[in-house]
Order: sequence, then C-alpha cells, then structure tokens
Amino acid sequence: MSTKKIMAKTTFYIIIVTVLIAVLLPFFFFVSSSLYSSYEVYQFPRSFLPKMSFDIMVTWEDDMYQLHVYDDEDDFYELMIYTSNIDDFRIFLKRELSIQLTNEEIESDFSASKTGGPVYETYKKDLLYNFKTFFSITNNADKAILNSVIAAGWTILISLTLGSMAGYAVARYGFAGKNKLNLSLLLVRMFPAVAIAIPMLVYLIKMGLNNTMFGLAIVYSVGNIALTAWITSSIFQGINVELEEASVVFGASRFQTFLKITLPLAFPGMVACSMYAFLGAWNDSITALILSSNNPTLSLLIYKALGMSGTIQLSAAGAVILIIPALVFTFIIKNYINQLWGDVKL
Amino acid sequence: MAFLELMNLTKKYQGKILAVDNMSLGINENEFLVLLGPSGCGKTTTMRMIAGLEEVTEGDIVLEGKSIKGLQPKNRGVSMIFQSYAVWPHMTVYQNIAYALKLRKMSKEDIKKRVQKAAEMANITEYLERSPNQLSGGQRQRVAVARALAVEPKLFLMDEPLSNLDAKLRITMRTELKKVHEELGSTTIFVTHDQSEAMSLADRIVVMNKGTIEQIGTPNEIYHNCESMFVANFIGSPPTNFIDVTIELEDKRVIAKHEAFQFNITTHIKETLKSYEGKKVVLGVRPENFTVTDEEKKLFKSKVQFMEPQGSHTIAVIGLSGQQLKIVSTKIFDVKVGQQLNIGINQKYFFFDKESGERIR
Repeated sequence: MSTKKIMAKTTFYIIIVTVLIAVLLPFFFFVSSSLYSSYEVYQFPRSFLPKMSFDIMVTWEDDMYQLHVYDDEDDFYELMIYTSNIDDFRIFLKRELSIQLTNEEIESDFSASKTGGPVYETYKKDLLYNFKTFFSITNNADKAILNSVIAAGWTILISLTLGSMAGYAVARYGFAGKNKLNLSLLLVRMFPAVAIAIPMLVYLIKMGLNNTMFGLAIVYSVGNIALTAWITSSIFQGINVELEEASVVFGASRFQTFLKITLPLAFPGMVACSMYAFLGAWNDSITALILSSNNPTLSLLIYKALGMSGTIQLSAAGAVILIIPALVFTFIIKNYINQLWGDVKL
Repeated sequence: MAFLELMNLTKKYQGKILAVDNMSLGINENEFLVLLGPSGCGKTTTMRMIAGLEEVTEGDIVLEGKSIKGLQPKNRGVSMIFQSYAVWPHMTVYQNIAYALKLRKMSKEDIKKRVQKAAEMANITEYLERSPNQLSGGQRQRVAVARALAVEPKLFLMDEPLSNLDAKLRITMRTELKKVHEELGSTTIFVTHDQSEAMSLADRIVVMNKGTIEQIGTPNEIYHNCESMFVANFIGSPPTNFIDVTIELEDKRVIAKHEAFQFNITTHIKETLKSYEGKKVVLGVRPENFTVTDEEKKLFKSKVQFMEPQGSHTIAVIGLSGQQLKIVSTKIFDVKVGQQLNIGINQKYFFFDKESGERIR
C-alpha cells in the first residue's frame, strides 16, 4: 500500500471515529448519568461508569452506628452519617446510594458491630432507582407517554395525508405558479414554533381543542405538511407516470390508481417522511408548554421535572425515557430512510 | 364506416401548441395500423387521445359507431402496451395480469382461466408467481402483452413497446407480436419511430409529420410510391437522394437537366412535367435505383468518397457537384475509396415540387 493510500485511510477513519464520538458521547453521558446514584454524581472526579454496588463499613461508637462508604479513588472509608435512628439510615441509603433496604435488614446487618467491631457489607445498587423516582415524583408520567404517542401519531397522520396529497399534485399536475408554490412551502418552516404558538392557542381555544393532543398535532403539522409535500413530491416524481396510466387504462379510477399503484410504490418514502413528523412532535416541549400545559406530553413533563428537581440524574433518566421510543421508531423504519433522498428503486 | 374513426382530431397544449392538427383516419377491424413519424410528430398524442389519457381539443373519436371521446379510459374497451412496459413492480406477474379483471369484478375462476390463457399466449406461464424485478426486459414486455391480452379489448394500443429492448430481442418480439395479432385478429394501433418495425408489422402505415398525416398506405406503397419529400426522406435507410434539376423541353422530349448530367424522361410523368418547363424540381432517387454501369450507359462519373460494407450489400457515398449521394449496390464489393464509378439510373425515380415538397404525378 502506498503512503498516500495509508494517509487517506487513516484520515478517513479519524473522521469516522470523531463523528462517532460526537454522536455517541452525549448519548453515553445521558445513559450513564441516569444510572448514577446521588452520591456518585457529586463525587469529583466522577467515575466513568456507574457503580453496580457499594462497599460500606459500619462501626458502633457513642451508642450510635457510624456508616462509612468506601471511596476507591482515595482508598479509604469515608464517614457519611452517624445516628441511632435506623429510619435515617434507610432513607440515606435510598436517596444517596440508591440502595433499597428495609429497617429490619439494616438492623440485623448493623447489629453485629455492637460487639464484634466494624461490619463490612457490600450492598447492590438499584440501577433503575432514578427511573422509578422519575415516575413517582411525576405522578402522571404514564399518561404523558401516552399523550406523546397520540400527539406524534396524529401529527404523522395529518401531515402525511395532507402533505402527500399536496406533493402528488405538485408532482403530477401542471398549474400556474407551481414552482413558486413549491418553494413557498418551505417558507412555512421558517416561522419559529413560538411565534405561531400564541395565535394558534387563540384558535385552538376557539375550537375547544386546547389541552388536547389532536389540537397539539394540528400545530405540529403546520410545518410538517410543507416538508412532507416537498419530500413526497420528489418521491412521486420518481414513480413512472406510465405505471399510473396503465392502471387507468386497465380499468381503475384516479383514486383507485392512487390507492393501489401510487401509494404502495411511494410507501417506503412516506414511511421515511413520517420520521420528521414523529421527531418534530416527540421532541417538542415549547409549543406543548403554551398549548397543552395542563395535559403535558412526555417531553414537556421532563422539561418541567428538570426545573423541579434540579438533580442531573433524574433529568437524565427522563431524557433516556424520551429517547427510547424515538430510537425504537427509527429502528423500525431504518430500511426506508434512504428513500428520503429519492433513492426509489423500481 | 370504419371500425375506429378519427374525425378532424385536434390537440392543442395550453391552448396554443399544436400537437395534432385536424387529423382524420379510419381504421378497419382486424387491421394492424402503424403510426410512424419522427419524435414530436403527434403520433403518441393521437394514441393517448384514443386511450383517453389525453383530452381531445377538437374533433371526435368513434369506435364501432359510438363516440368514445368523453368516456373514462376504463369504459373505452381499449388496452395498451407502454414503452416502459409499465408492469407494476409491487405485484407479482399473476397480479399484474389479473389487476384489470379484478377491477371488473370477475369471479376468481374466470380470472384464473383468463390469466392462464393470456400467459400461455405470451409464453410466461412459468413466471406467474415471480415479481417483475426478477424478470428481464423482454420478459417484462411479455407480461405487458399478457396483461393487455387478458382484458380481451376491442382495440390494442401499443406505444413504442419495443424501443426499450436490445436490437436482437426487438426483432424476436416483433415476430411474436405479429403472431399474436394473426392468432387473435385483433385491431391494433402501433406507434413507432422505427421504420423497419413499421414495415415488418403493419397492414397499413400512417406516416405523420408535425401533427398531420403525410401518407397512408401499405408498407410497399409507402416505400415505392412516396407522396412527399418528407416520406421519401423518412422511409428508407439510407434515405432517398434529392437532386435539384431543371426541366427543359427539346422538340418533343422532356429533359431533366443538372450541371453534371441530363437525361430524357420517358415515363408517363413527362406529360405533367411539361408544365414545369424552365423551373427547378427535385429529383428523388432511392439509393438502390442508382446503378453502377459501364462507360456507355453512364449518366455521370463520380468518385467514391466512403464505402460502408453491410454484408449483403454495400453502401457507397459518392460526390456529385459538391453534394453527397448514397448508392446501394449488391455488386460492388471490391471498390476502393477514390475510385471513379460510372453511375446510371433506372426509371424508378420521383419528382417533387420544390416549394411544397409534394410528389409530381
């Protein structure tokens, strides 16, 4: 291999790795943060990976139990709390170390230190503690997840139905000002959501659709219809007109042709298109804050939780909860994503 | 009245671009009619108007005595084979053929029988369960043919169905289309820009140019009895040679005079040509109607500029006062470039009016 080739290859892999790191590092940060206990979060330097368990030492002095936690950075047992109240220990273990124990278990484990010197124990951390806490402090989280799914579902349905029809018209029919219309479709997306949210709220209240997911989806669809029309028109253009004409000649109406020929052929591209609608609806919290504050979506709930608790590991847990369905959705449609760039193979 | 009658058919795009201009044509039952012309001559537009894919601007289309102008394509009783085959890629071959039958709400049994019959005619019975993506171009074309056959139409429309195939397959498919036509006796309109396709398939050829009909006739009529310079130029490969000559009268003889040669016109045409005395007309001679002859019978002498051997015959490009002529001969195989040839002419020549381009008869 020539030097030039080696250089080229090296550069290529450096770039790939950089991109990978840039993409994966925040994701890793969130996932690992969501698994930390409170104690780990405030340690400096913070460990790279979350701990699975804690080593603790209990001593008995002055009629009180003294709880030490092993610090592997400095290799010593750090005194954390001393009290005679078992309840305090239980709460400390739970809140700071994400260890779930009953008073009886604590009592029986600790009592040996009264006579036989220090007691050493290894307690398993409850890894999902933050997630459980997230659901318990935000008492309507499951409702919010459902809301998010409904809002995203409506957004996909509305923007794909209307957008693909507009896209089809642009692709297949000639009319005056077609090119200008096509370009102006994208203008709609230039308005920030916040700018149109207030007038939208007025309209939604008039229609009685505020605080409903359908109303929220209508607002999300505004920008998405335009984008869907833009993308689908290029997908439809990629479908040979003769395929539709053949259908018409062989006995189908225009509408039957669209359903039986055009739609199945455009389907992969439209699935890919639905990703934009999904992500737009799923990730938004600002519009939801204005339009549906009393009936929050998941991302709005997380946004609020962030302000409420102020603890990083809880927010991270919320973020992970938000990411997972989006990942699943993207994974399902991954085979279709290439179609977005008009890569329609017929 | 003919089976299918096109009456003063006119198509204008956006109110001004004239694609088909006042075209009238009758097509007989069981006839294989070919619309032939260069691209943009309106042949495809005409076919699309018959199919109902294009609106008629003016005129009427009458099939079996009834106007079909305002009907939906599906109610016209026509089926069509497209240039790109238009075989639906998301359906199996069977589903493709059965599509039209299902829309007609036929029973499952009947559909199965019809599909089987059509598949047999098109020779694709072993591919019925395959997806079109697994088929070659020629096989896809057969699917398109089977699909068109299955609906048992009154009229077959074929829009350059062979032009996407490679040269060899084109000739095979050509024969098969003809065979299918002869078995069914179906009325067929076939659009093409390929004259050899037109000649080999057609009962009658309609030569079109700029939205109008130049000539209608059997392949032999079209070739040997051209109505206009356009047809003489378009039909035949290489095309007809055109030479400007002046008509002169000497005693009772009518002479076609060119700076390099002159000859006596002896055919019946000389009576008509008398009125052209002193005027320029265009002499049209097909390449094979020039002869390579001896010193005595020669019309003119010319140097060979290029030789194009074709196997069965040879095309020689010769010069005539700054003009290039192409002659076809089955005799001269050993002629070198630069050699002088004695060129004669037989009596199968045409004269055309220089202004209108029409044949002088």
